[in-house]
Amino acid sequence: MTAAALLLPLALLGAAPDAGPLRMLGPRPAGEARRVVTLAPSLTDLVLALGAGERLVGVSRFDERPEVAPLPRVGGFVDPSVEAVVGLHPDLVLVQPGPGNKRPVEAMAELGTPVLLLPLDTVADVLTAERAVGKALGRTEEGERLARRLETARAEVRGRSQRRNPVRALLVFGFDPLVVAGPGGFADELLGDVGATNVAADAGSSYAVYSVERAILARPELIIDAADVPGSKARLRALPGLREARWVSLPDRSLLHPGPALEQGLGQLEALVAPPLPRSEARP
Amino acid sequence: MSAVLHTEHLAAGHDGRAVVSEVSLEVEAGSLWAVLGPNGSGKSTLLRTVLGVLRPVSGEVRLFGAPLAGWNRRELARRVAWVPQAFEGDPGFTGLELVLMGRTPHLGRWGLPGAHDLAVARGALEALGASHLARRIVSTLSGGERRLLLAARALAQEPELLLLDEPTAFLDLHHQVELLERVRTRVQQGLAAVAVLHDPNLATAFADHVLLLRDGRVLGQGPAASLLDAERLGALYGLPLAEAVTAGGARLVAPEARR
Amino acid sequence: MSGAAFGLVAVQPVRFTPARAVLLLGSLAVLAAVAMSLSVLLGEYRLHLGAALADPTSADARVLFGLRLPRALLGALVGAALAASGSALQALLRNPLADPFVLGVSGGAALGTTLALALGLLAVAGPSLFAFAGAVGAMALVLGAGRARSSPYAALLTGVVFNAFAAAVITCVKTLLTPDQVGEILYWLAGTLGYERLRTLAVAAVIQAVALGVLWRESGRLNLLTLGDDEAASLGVPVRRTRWWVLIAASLSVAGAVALSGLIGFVGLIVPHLLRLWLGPDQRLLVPASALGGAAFLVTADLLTRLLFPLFHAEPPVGVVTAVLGGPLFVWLLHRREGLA
Repeated sequence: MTAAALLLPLALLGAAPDAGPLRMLGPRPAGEARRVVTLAPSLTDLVLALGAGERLVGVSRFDERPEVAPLPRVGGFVDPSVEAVVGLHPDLVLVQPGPGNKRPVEAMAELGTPVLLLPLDTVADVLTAERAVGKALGRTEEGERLARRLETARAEVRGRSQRRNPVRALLVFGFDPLVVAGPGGFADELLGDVGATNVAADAGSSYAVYSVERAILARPELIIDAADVPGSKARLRALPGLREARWVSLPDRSLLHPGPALEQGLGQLEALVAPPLPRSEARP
Repeated sequence: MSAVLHTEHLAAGHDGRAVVSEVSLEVEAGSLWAVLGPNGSGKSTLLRTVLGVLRPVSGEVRLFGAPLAGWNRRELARRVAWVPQAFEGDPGFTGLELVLMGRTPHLGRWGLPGAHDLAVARGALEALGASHLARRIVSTLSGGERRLLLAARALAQEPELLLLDEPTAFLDLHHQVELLERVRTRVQQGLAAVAVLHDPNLATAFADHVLLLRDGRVLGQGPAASLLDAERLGALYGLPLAEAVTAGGARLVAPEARR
Repeated sequence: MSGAAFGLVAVQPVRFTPARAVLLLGSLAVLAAVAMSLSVLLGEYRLHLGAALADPTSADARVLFGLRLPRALLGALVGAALAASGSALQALLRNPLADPFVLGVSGGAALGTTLALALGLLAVAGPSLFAFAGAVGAMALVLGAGRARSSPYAALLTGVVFNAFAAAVITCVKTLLTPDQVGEILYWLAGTLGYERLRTLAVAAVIQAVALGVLWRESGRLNLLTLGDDEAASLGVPVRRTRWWVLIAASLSVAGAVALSGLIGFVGLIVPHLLRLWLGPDQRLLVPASALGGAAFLVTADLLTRLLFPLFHAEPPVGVVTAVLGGPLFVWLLHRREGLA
């Protein structure tokens, strides 16, 4: 009985917590939001991209963009400070939901602060978020435009990729442990757009700890380094099965954050996957 | 003639294995029994079994006429007191607090003492010449002083039967004599006492009955005067002993002088 | 009074009297009240007490009654539980180094939460439910194992082993989780005071009232148990029954605390020790005194974490502050003990 009890959780491990659909908590805001607090840098990016940066009154402590440098910090992902947020008297709080911030976010809503929960796991989520936030800020047109641009960019990239052979690729978010882009997330979708086949499609979640042996067996042709720190990258690179692959690095990791930056991220990904071909093969 | 303590073919030991057996004893009120024997002869084990904290291996124990097993712990504690060999509790208590613990069987759940209880406790300390230890913290006391407190605690229980496990260990000669004299006085007032002693001369001086244990068996039991001679004690301790009588009439035994 | 200064002599020979108890517990209650008042009034949000009391719908009122007050109450409950249980367990196990987590309750709670996180169950219900379930499960296991032998050391050993086992399983699970999830577990394990609903606090308060009430009720007998099983029995104490009551009440109290706050260390170790130095080893005083002292200590530590927010843009977990405060205090205590002995 103990053995079964132990095996069951191991079998189910890796199932990402369900972030839930886009949701509004707390009272409905009257009219467009004028004082906005964001609890994640991706959402700050979104507000800035909508041209509503002046409405931001508070951001998370992980925000590094110079535009928000003078703003007060209200905490992190797992530990937003309810008091700090409420003290800024916002009329809208933008939150990327996760299991850690559930209770503080609910507390904010119960205290009368409107909260918009925006999951940002897939590209569809990002598009929905761009439209929803645009609407909440009274910048519906900008929101729509941002979303269209991303959709168009994707369509164009897909068109180009169809003329190429698919490349077996692995996108690495971290090396210690090996965390890769698994199925179902925006990274996986973008890989598909650029004509790459995600060799980690059998991973448990979209942001998954992956076994090095499985990575070797999958024999990727292309390995994309999107990690913050190199860690044991050099060692991995020397392994048979991985050293034969083409190793490339994303020039700017922040472009792979879910949000308006995905558009540029997509472009960079395409450049990495399909470097300009030698002239003799460039015939369309 | 109701005996305070009555045992019949009692075998005492641990985990079903007897350390001493065939103990048939009757202790009357107003008598002081000394239990003598070499180390490991089961003296302490016997005492603990009679007290009820160790299950008898076989045989019967009756206290105040009723079987041991049927006694309510609290009721028994009001009538039987035990002076253990060592102090194991928290040494942060004061002397008087420790002695007051002896009043527990007479008090409620919270053990809040009344004026009478305090008087009894202080009386017990005074009887043993230990009043100066009332305010001292136990951790600062010597082994002997702690023994005095344990004895005072037992007296504070106002028992009818007092069980003492080597009460004179660590005490200087003065206190050894004083302690046993106090117990003797109480015995003359009606208390029954059973004391494990390691010095046969103390037994001679204070006890009216003795129980001699050796190799898990009773070597002899009965009136002290008839049993405490050099020959029998020599057999008990496995050692040649010599006897002497002092000018004052006290009988003494001592190991034969070695050349 | 030089004797008293060196701890040789007590000021009074009998230190537990109703009058003295009322005086001492009263002063500790005042201390706890002061700590809670400060905790309610100070914080990141500039609270205007007048506005809060005048207008129930104002933001000040909502922060006061919706955030500050529940958090202070939570801190008081958890602090009281950990300290009082710690005191009782130190007496029961005759081990001054016993802390309330020694019985495996903490391992069970941590394991429950970690497994719930890994299985994605935290979307269904908060970590408290799983922590409590894990804690109670561990309690049943450890106490059940201790049942076979009547020695308290069996329960203690089983608790230590279970904690080690739980730690191993948690480490294994941590290596399999994504870094985000690991961050979350680490945060919970470090011990934090969050914002609980009044409903949850009410349930917690009832649990603690019952558990701590039982501990206080048994505190007189607990004193006698420190003499040793045989001596206590010879004084008329029902040894096995008392021991079970204390173990169960202490475990329940700790489970109720850990379920809400994670593993906050040092409160259960430091507060009873400090109070023991001042008040003596009498559990009839120490159990309620530890409850009050623990409440004051934890509420104060929590206040410090909130006041540190402008520094780090984060509230450090309160378990960090209790360790930073408690560590040096503990070393000082040991030093003092060595000096006297």
